[in-house]
Amino acid sequence: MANVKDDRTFTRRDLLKGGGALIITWSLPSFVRAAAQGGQAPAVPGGQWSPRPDLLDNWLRIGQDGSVTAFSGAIETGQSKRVAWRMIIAEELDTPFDSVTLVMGDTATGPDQGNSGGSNGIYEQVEALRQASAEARKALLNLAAQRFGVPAPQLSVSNGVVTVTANRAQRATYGELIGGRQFNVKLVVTGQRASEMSLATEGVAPVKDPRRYTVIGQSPMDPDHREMVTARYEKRMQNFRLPGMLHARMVLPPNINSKLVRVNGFKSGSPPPGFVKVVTRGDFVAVVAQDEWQAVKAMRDLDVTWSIKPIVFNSGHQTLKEDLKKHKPAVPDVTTVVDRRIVPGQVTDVNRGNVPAALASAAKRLEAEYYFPMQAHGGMGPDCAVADVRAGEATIWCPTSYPAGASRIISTLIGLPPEKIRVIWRDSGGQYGRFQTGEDAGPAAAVVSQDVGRPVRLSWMREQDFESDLFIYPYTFKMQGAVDADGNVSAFATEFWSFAIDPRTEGGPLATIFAGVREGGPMRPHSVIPVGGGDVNSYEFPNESLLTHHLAPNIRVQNGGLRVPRHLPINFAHECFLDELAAAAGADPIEFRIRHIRRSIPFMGKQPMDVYDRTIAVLEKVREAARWQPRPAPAVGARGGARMRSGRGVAFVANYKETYCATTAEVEVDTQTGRVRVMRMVQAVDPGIVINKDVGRDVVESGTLHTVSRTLHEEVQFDATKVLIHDWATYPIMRFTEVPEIEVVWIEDPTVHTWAGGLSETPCTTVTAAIANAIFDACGARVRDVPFTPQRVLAALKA
Amino acid sequence: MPRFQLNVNGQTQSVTADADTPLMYVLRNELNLEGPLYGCGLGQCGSCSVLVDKQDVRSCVTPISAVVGKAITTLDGLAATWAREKGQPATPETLHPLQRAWIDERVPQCGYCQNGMIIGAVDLLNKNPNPTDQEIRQAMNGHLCRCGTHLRIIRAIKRAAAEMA
Repeated sequence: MANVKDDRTFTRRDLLKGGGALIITWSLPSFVRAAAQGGQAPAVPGGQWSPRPDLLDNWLRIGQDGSVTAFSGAIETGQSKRVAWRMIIAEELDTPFDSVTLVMGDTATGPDQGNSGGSNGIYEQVEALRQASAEARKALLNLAAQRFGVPAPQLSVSNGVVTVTANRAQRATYGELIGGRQFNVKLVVTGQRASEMSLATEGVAPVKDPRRYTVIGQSPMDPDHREMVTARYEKRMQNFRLPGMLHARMVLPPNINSKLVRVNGFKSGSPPPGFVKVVTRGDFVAVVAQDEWQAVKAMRDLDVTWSIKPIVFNSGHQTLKEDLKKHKPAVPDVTTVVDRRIVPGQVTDVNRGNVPAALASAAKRLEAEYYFPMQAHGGMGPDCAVADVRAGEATIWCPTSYPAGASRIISTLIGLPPEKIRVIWRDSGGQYGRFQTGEDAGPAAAVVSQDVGRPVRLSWMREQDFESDLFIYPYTFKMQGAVDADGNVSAFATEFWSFAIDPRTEGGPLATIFAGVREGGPMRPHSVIPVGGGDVNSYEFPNESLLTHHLAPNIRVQNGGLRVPRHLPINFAHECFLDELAAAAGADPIEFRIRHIRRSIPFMGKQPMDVYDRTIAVLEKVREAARWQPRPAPAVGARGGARMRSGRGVAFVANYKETYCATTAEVEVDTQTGRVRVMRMVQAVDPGIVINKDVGRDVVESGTLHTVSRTLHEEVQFDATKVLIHDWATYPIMRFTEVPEIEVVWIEDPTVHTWAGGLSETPCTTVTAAIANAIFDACGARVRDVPFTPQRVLAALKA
Repeated sequence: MPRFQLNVNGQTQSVTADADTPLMYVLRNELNLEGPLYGCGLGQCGSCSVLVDKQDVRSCVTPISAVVGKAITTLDGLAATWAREKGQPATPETLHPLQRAWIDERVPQCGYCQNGMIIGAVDLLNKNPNPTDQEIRQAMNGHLCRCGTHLRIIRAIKRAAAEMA
């Protein structure tokens, strides 16, 4: 069946079935409160054209059949947010889960909610719809109260039906009460949060007491699965098409530090059949053809002369670990940030005590270096977008994680104001943080469509997707520590080198090609993460320091967010080094961690003992679920003569998005080949309330496996002039025969009445360290450079 | 451009394309099918897989000239083809046992690789109706999943195999 559904025909008006008179407004209390706060509607991110977040009708509509349509600016990143959100809406509205449809990421219908990423979906973004749903329920009860002539407290509501509690025969469905008409309720918007640009609405209706939940805590299935397995998933970006659509392919330079000199024509001598034109814009080149295969052939056949600037590459990926420490010369005109100390108040509890003195007087002193390389997103679906740019308006379908932000970027490129540019999110598959503002194919598709005056689908080739990806920042760590005579950590010092954010490349792979999209500006450090990889350090040491170096990126690739971009590398270095200290102290790794858990220092605004029990619980749970026998590492046979040796390791992170996680890994090491096989992993997770245990479990399992692949296989290879990864042969990932068994256990604390975020990231954070620690336990070899290739394991065995 | 008669999902389709056009583009753009997806264009990932005479074939590297006269089944037509083989009427609600198992085991995460995975599983169960865990892993090794749904895929294949036995 053709998927030619053009959702430009679907507008907000379509939901208004039968006009009807204005509903009584319930706006006065909240509006008065807003007026009391200064009267101005808070600045709406995205400007005037996004649907206003302070109008309930812009978040929720109810049809005559009682069906609920919710609108969001947030989008689905492939981590099942769509299921949890529908459950939360259904819960607050007291309506069946199946009655809720979520329309995500259409700038015409969804209020601007900022970028979807960094595990902000359930942690922050959903609060707006949660509150809006509570407001809608309150409004519906008031409508019923009028209808039945009884006060609202004498009503009951369940499954979208309101009844008079004392006389159940008096009932009305949501569809009967409002179906198709507007609420006309105003919400109090508390404005954007600076870090995540998400909105919270604060109306007058309280959200439901979690102890009364009937939907949250159940396990409804994901309605999108049936569509996906029957080839009817309408939101699939790559299957979107418009009548008369042309096909485009980019012709990218050898590296992004290149200038277009000239398009010379076709190597074969003449334009291939179906060729329409070459589009150039600054240094951007694309070919357009009638059909897709013709576009691919035209792309390969086009002869382009580029002027390749001398690139200041590091000599290659093999030396990047050392190069980072050597502070390679900065790119001219860019400020290099070195030796940046943590400003007190930004991060608490670092630089405490006297690390040098503690190290000098230590009973046992250790030092180790760790390395986490650049890695690629490698989503299965290469970047793709469809654009239809006309004289006065444009519509772009693309996988952006920030539609309103994308419309602003596209506005600067095609000269239409953002309110004339409709961006509609479509699902191009797992992106793991790749498609942030303007970093997807939408802007390029828009430029091409405007040039040819036709709808265009522009797709990236697999090799382009790898070569011009945004790679996670690399890290080199130098850890120093000490154990005192009692076997406790007396000093713990972290120093790391990584890249600053370069604003010239911040817009993604094409930013430097579309001149003017990103202005030059001072480099700045990407956020400094406390030692431990959580939002707050999990542990407490008497003498502790953190020193970070954010270098000017002097390799001409682009860096960006890839799944736990900072926390994962830091947790790796921290949890491995802590394990080394435990081994030096002759202590069991789990018991050693429990001994050092933070207990006296404030914990991101909370008293440490408020979270102490939850921190300990997760470690104790993983110990039990993994059937972990307490003993120091390494295992008895580690330095024996057996070829195949087995071991276990653990790692822990507290409080990333307020989720706690402890992870064990069991590995088998082939000491002859260096191959590591991960056999089993246990994830003990405390995310507060578990919204959907089945889907939550799936998300944890999937994220764990993604990270196992990164740990064992993945490193972006490059040389002095170019990136060397192009496909799945040059960037291998984990395959079926390597996949470990994964067990997920929840800690459910009955005293916790909120849910945390990060189910798709927090359990990933600890995977690499757990595996490294297991390798040590198995064979006594410390592998400190990711990925743990057979060569690296063999080298560590010999060390 | 020459004309080709292709047998796709039980129907003869006439398409106009260059002989070297990979089957994937013809299925997706000429015939508007949504099952096979472009993942790499290199035959490495399996996102584009279709059945050609019951075999898992990478449509991104298979020219249409090579599949004339062969029975091509895409994910779009899998259920109806299955029903036809069983002599049962096919409705829009009909599911191949693997599709039903995929839903029951909540297999998809982002869903992009699942076309290829299901096609690969059909091929596997055709050749080996009762595969062990290890046999499943080896047979499916040529299909890549980035999100990490492998364990659910293995469970779904076993589930479907039991139902199809």
